Amino acid sequence: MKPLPDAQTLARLVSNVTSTMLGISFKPVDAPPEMGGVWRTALLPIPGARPVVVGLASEFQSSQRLSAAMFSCKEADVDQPMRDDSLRELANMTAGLVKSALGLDALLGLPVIKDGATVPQRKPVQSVFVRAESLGLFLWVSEGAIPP
Amino acid sequence: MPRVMTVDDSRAVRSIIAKQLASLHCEVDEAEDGQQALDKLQDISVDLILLDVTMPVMDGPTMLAKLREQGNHTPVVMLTSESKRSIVAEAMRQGIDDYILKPFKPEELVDKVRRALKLGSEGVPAPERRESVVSSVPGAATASSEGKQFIDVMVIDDMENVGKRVRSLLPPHVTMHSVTSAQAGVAACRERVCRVILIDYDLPDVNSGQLADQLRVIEPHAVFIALALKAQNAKAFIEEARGKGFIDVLFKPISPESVEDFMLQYFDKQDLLVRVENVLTISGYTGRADRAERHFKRLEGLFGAELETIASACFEDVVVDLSKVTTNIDRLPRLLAAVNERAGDVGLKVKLLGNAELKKMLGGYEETKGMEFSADLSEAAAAA
Repeated sequence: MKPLPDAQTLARLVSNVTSTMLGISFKPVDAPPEMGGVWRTALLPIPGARPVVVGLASEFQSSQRLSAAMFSCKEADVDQPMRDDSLRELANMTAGLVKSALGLDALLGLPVIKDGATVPQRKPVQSVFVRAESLGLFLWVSEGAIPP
Repeated sequence: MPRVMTVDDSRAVRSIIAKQLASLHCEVDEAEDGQQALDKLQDISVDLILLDVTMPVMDGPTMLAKLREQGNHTPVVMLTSESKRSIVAEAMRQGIDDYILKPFKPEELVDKVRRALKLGSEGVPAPERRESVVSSVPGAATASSEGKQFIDVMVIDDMENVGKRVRSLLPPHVTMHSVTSAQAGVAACRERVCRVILIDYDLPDVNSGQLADQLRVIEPHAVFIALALKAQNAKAFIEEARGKGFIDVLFKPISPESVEDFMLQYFDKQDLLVRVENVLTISGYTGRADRAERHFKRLEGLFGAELETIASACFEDVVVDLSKVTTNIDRLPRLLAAVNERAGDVGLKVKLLGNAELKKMLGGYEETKGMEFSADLSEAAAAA
């Protein structure tokens, strides 16, 4: 059984998604000591014999800019459903790559949005904070089902 | 003006698609899920459907099956984050024209839509139909002069003969490319989309696991298999290779049996026996005649679980679709006799589906002469 992807690999996977779709490349950086701002997380379960959850979190400003890029619109025109939709889709594409990296054979589940950006306490879990200029994303992968 | 329907639960994806299709002067209709798309298609007709796989209410494969059941043969290009082989194989069976793996570059989308709509570079109809990217043969690949080339198998091994050996053992419809260095492998993967990548575990001066990791970024949906000399403790070696990111190991010297197992595992498994409700479709056998017995034994083994599934779903009969079976007629009656016996064990009645010629031939065999035979599915259903 392959171990969960390390931080560098996770950073490459999420950056692969954003650079392909939006032309924005992210680099892994140390996570800030305090996650300021209002964060939302898209949680995507990959069920099956080895259940895994992929979480992709973004704070308000980054969400706003990524959504504007995805919808090709002005930031001022982005609303909450658009931010959630963009985050869900980025999580979905990232999870597809995580699934391939882990060699999992189950179908991707549907992503759900939750407030905050809390990494599950249970192990094993891998996480990475990535930045592209002023944009920041937080990606984690953990074994098991979606935490309550 | 071509009319395209995009079916995706993500408004962002629908927005990206609509923006890109504007360059092709397409009229774009949107649906959030398969059910909404089917409802809209009751009222409108489109030239192409871009279909997501995972959606709430009704997913893409279900919608595709229902669309085809309704006799609607609108070209479909599937967009998916799923690399699961059975999803793509089943979609191919249902007649998708092409598929795009997410994340996708906008130009890839435009190129594939243009090809599916048979448009020229300016978005106007091209004078001649261009070849579909997805071949009618599952697992086969074709080249595109404008996009990446799709190939089934990439071999990276410093011994040139390894590539030649693998090529000689693969069926002709499986496309393959072979290189003899890691550098050439990386370059080749940048130009191609590969389904399976075989990497020499002991490439000189190269950590094969790191090479696989590097290639996985370029080829996120490929399956990585190590090529290695037969180890004394094969099981332990396979575990070691898996720890380095390989899914499996193909041991040298490479035998016809091992390649046949490889084919079954990564290419043919989903198509060998396909079930839709109570209809089991047997694939045609294209391998060597002296391997047919092995093929039919595998096929026989697959029937057991499928028959139990059908019986569990409270069907009274099972339809065995033989329309793709073209060879090895001598072996077929024995297979069908075994299926008939196993079906009887779980309370199912077997009905065969095939053309008149096949019916006549099977009627001449003791094992199959008494079995019910229909020319098409509606006839088989009417007889139920």
